[in-house]
Amino acid sequence: MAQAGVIKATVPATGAAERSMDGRVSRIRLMTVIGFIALWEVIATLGSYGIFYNDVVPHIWNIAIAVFYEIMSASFYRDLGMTFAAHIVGFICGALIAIAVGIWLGTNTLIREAMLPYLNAIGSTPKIIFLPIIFLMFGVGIESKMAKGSMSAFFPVVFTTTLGMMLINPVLIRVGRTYNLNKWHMITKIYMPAMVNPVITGLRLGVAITVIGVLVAELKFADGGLGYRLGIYYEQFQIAPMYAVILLIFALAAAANSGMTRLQDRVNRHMAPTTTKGKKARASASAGLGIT
Amino acid sequence: MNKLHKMPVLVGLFGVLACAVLLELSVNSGWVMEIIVPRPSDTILSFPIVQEDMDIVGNFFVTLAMTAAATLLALIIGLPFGYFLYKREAYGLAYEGWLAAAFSTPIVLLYPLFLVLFGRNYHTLILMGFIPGAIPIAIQTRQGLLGVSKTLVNVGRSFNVSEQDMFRKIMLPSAVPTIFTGIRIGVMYTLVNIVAIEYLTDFGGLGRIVSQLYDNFSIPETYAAILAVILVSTFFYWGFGRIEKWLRPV
Amino acid sequence: MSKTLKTFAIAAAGIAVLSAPSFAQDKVRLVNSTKVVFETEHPYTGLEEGIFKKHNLDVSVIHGSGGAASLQAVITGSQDVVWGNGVLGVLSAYAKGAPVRILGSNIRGVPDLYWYVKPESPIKSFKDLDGGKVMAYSRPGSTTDLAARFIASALKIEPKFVSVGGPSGSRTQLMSGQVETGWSVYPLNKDLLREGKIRIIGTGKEATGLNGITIRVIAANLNWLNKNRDVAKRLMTAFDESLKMTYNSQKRLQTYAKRWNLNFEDVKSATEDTPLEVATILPVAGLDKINQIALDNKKIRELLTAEQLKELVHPMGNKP
Repeated sequence: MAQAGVIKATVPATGAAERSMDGRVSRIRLMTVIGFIALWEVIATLGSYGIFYNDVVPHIWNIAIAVFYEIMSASFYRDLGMTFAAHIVGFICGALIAIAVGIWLGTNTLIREAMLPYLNAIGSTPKIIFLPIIFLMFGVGIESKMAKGSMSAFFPVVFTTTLGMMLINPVLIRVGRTYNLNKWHMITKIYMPAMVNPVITGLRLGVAITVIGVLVAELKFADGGLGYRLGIYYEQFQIAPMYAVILLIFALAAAANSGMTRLQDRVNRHMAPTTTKGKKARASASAGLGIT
Repeated sequence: MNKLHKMPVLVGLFGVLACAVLLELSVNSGWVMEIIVPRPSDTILSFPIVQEDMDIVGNFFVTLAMTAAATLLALIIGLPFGYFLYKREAYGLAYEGWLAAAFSTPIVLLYPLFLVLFGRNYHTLILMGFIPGAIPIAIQTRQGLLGVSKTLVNVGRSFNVSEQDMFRKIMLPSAVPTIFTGIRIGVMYTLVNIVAIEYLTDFGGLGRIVSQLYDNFSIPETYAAILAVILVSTFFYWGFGRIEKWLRPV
Repeated sequence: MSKTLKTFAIAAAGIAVLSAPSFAQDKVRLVNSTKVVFETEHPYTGLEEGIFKKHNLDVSVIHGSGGAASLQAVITGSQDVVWGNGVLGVLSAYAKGAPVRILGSNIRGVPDLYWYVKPESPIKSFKDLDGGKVMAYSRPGSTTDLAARFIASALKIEPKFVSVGGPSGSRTQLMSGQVETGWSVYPLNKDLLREGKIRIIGTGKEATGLNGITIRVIAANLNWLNKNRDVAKRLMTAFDESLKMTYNSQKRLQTYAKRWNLNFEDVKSATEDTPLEVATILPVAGLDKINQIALDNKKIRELLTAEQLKELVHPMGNKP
C-alpha cells in the first residue's frame, strides 16, 4: 500500500533541562532566520553591482511592501476565494468518495487485493500528468480545479481508510454482527469510530496535497486563483509581488496543515485511555481503541 | 491454494480489461466523446507513433537521469544533515519542525523563482527535484538514529566499542530501514516534482512530452504518454518496495 | 407580514426588470488565448464600451496562458469561441477531426515579436547571429519558433536556436548572461528598453516568409456555430467594431495599461507596434503556406485538401 510519507516532529522532554533546551532551540531558530535574511540581502545587494542579475532577488523590504499591497488588494481576496472554493469542494468530494471506497476495500478482501496494485500505481504517479484529461473532461473553469483537488485528496484518504478498516479490532466487528447491526449502523457505530485516527491522518495529508493540486492546475490554466495570480506576476516579471504571493501561499498552507495537526492531536488525546478521562476513555475504547 | 492466491491478480486484470472493453464500446457508440477519451485500442496503437515523434524511450531516460542526479544530491546533502541533526540535539529540535512543515508545502510553486534564478535548463529541474527529496531523507535519518534500541547501545558500551564502531556496527545497521523509508519517500517526491516541472515548463523528459502532445491535440498519444509516466512511477515504487523488503525482511 | 411580502414582491419585480435585458441577450463564452499582449484588449473594448450589448450579446471573457488549452476548451464545448489562438494548432485539431472552425484572423505576420540584446553586446542585428550564436524562442512548435526559423531562412543565417520559455524566462536568461539574445512580444519588457537596459536587434517583420500570413485566429466550436450562426455573425461584427475602436481611442490604451499594470509609456505605441492593417479580421490569408508548415512541423500527417481548407474557414461567421 502506498505510504503517504507522514513526517512528524518530535517533542522534547520536560523539566529544567527542557527550559534550557527550549532556549537553545529558540536561539538557533532566531539566528537561522537572521542569517537567512542577511544572506538574502547580500545577494540582493550584489545584484545592484551587476554581480548577480539585479531584479531576480529583491530586497526584503520590497517583498514586505509587496505582501502589504497584496493583502490590501481586493483582487487578492477574489483569487484567494477562488482557490479556497476549489480546494474545499475538491477536498470534500475527494475525501467522501475515498472514505466510501476505503470502507468498501477494507471489507472486501478479494476486491481490495485486486484493486490495490492499480490504485498504488496511479497513487504514486505525479497527478499533474492527468491535467490534460481533467481539462478535457471538465473544461478550463473552476470545475477542473475542483476535479484536480478531488483527485489529489482521494489517494491519501483511500489508503489510510483502507488500512484503518483492515486494522479494526475483529472483536468489535463480531460484536456488531452479534447485535445484527445493518450495514449503515456497522459503518457509523463500529467502523468510523474505530478508524478515526487513520482517517484523520489521511485527511491531514489530503488537505496539504489538495492545496498543491489546485494551485498547480491554476498555474497551468485558469482565469483566477492564487496559482493564476502567481503565473501572471511571473509572466510580467513582477518579481517582488511574485515572492509575496508565494509567501502568502506558504503561510496559508502551513496554517491549514497546522490546523489539521491540531485536530489530529485533539482526536488522539480524546482517544487515549487515561484515568482522568474515565467514561469518555472507556466510551472511546469501546469504539475501537488500540488502533495504531 | 495457488488458484485462490492468484485470484485477486486475475480479478484485477479482468476488471481492467472489462473497463477497457466498456470504454471502447462507449466511444464507438458516441456515448463518450472521442476527443475527450480515445479508444483504448487507439491509445495502445499510438505508442509506436509517440516513440517515433517524441522518442518516449529516450525521454524516459532523461527523466530517469534527472531523478537519479537529484536523488544523489539529496543523499549527499540529506544523509549528513540528518546525522548532524541527530548528533546536535538542539539543532535537531530546532529544525525538524521546520523541515516537516516544508515537506508539506507546495515547493513545486517555487519553479518560477528557480527559473528566474537559474534559467531554463536541466540543472534547475535537478535542483527543484533535490529539495523535496532531501527533506524526508534528513528527517528519517535523524529519526532512524534516534530510534536505535538503547539495549543495543548498552551492549556495545559493555564491550567498550569505539565511537566509530558503535556507529558503524550498531547504530547504522539498526537505523538503515528507517533511513531507507526516507530515501524511498524522497525518490518518489523527487520524481513527482521533476515530472511536474517538466510538464509546467515544457522542458525535460516525460512531463514535457505529455504537455507537447496535448498541445498538438494528439489525444490518443497524450493518453499513451500518461500511461508511460504511470509505468515509470510504478516501476520506481515497486523497485524501491522490493529493496526495502530485502533490507527489512520482518 | 403583508408589508414584508409587498416589499419582497416589489424587489423581486425590480430585479426581474433590471435583469430582463440580459435574459434576452445571446450568451457567448469567449476564451482569450493569452494575456497582456495588445490584441487581448479588443474583446474588453467590446465588453466595456457596450459594443457587445449593442449587438445583443452577453459575452463572458476568460484567459488562457497560450498553448493549446484555450483551443481544447472550445473543442470540448466548455467555451464557444477562442480569440487569438495559433493557426497551426487550429489546423492540426481540424485535421484530427475536432469540431472547430476559423471565423477570422487575429494577426497576420509576426510584427509584434522582437529580439533584443544587452546594450554592450556586439550583436547589432539578426545577421550577427550567423555562425551558431544563440537565437531564442519560447518552445518547440510555437509561433516564436516558427518566426525565428523564418527569419533565419529569409536572412540566410545559421544561428543556434535555443528554447528559453516565455518573455519572463527569456529576460532573465539574457540579463544573467545565460543566452546572447532574448525574445519578447510588445509591450512586454519594453520597460527595459525605456530604461536603456536592452537594445532591439530586429523584429518579426524580418520573417518575410510569414508577412501577410494569418498566424493567430478567432475560432469557434462547430456545434455552437451551426446552432448560433446569427450570433456568430453579430459577434464578429462586434469584434470588428471593437478592434477599430481600440486602435482609435487613447482612453482604451490607458484602460489597457491599467488592466495589466503596465506603464503607459510602454503601451502608447501599441498601435504602431502592431499596425491595424495586420490586425483586421479579414482576410484569413496564407492557409496554403500554413498547411505546408504544419506538415513540415509534424502537426499533421498529410496535407489538407483545398476543399478542407475552404471548409475550415467560416469568414465572419458566414458559411464558406
